[in-house]
Amino acid sequence: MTLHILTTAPNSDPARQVEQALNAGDTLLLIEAAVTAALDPQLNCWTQPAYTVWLLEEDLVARGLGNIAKKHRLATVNMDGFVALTEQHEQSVTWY
Amino acid sequence: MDYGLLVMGAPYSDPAPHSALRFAEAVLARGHRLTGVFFYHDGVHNASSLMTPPQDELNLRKAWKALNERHGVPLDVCIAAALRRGIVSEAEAARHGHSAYNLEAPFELTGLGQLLTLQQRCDRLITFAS
Repeated sequence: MTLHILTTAPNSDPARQVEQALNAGDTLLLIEAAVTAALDPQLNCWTQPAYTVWLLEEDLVARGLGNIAKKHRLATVNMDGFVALTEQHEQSVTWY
Repeated sequence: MDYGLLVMGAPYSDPAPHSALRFAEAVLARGHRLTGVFFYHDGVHNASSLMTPPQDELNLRKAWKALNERHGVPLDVCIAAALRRGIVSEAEAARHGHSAYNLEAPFELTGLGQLLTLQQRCDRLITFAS
């Protein structure tokens, strides 16, 4: 099980690459510009059942997207939760 | 657990250093050890002692320095990435005939081998780049 950390917006090359690399049971953490994925609940990452997706709360709030994530009931973690995810996953890959 | 951080983003043009700093604080707050931070690619600009942001903004170099002072975290800077971007220590400035330098302790110029050593010594190596 791998933790994939995506830092770029949906439709960017890294976002497309991580979709190819994600395996069932993996976890995807969206940070920095990647949290703009919260604006579109129809994106594949929200509708697929194979892997878990988290949004970094601080980066959502910094972009004024905290409420929209709540409205769409998207899962968020704070920085403490980010560290917890790295504890749970022996391997992590950052996509940028 | 032992954590290492790889920072590849430049200060103020890239959110990666901010993310890495906040992650570092959270790692320590959860009781883990931070074994080292390695600055690579544009991340080497975090080490510039000539960095002069407005006083009401976070000075990233000072924030990294504070992390070193409070927790003894080594701050290693890739020498090859740094020299070609004009980040030089006093010794390298003398070697290359420059009249000024902008990298001082606690930042240290090291080779890529140091990154491999950090990776081997850590349970987790987390990359910050964007």
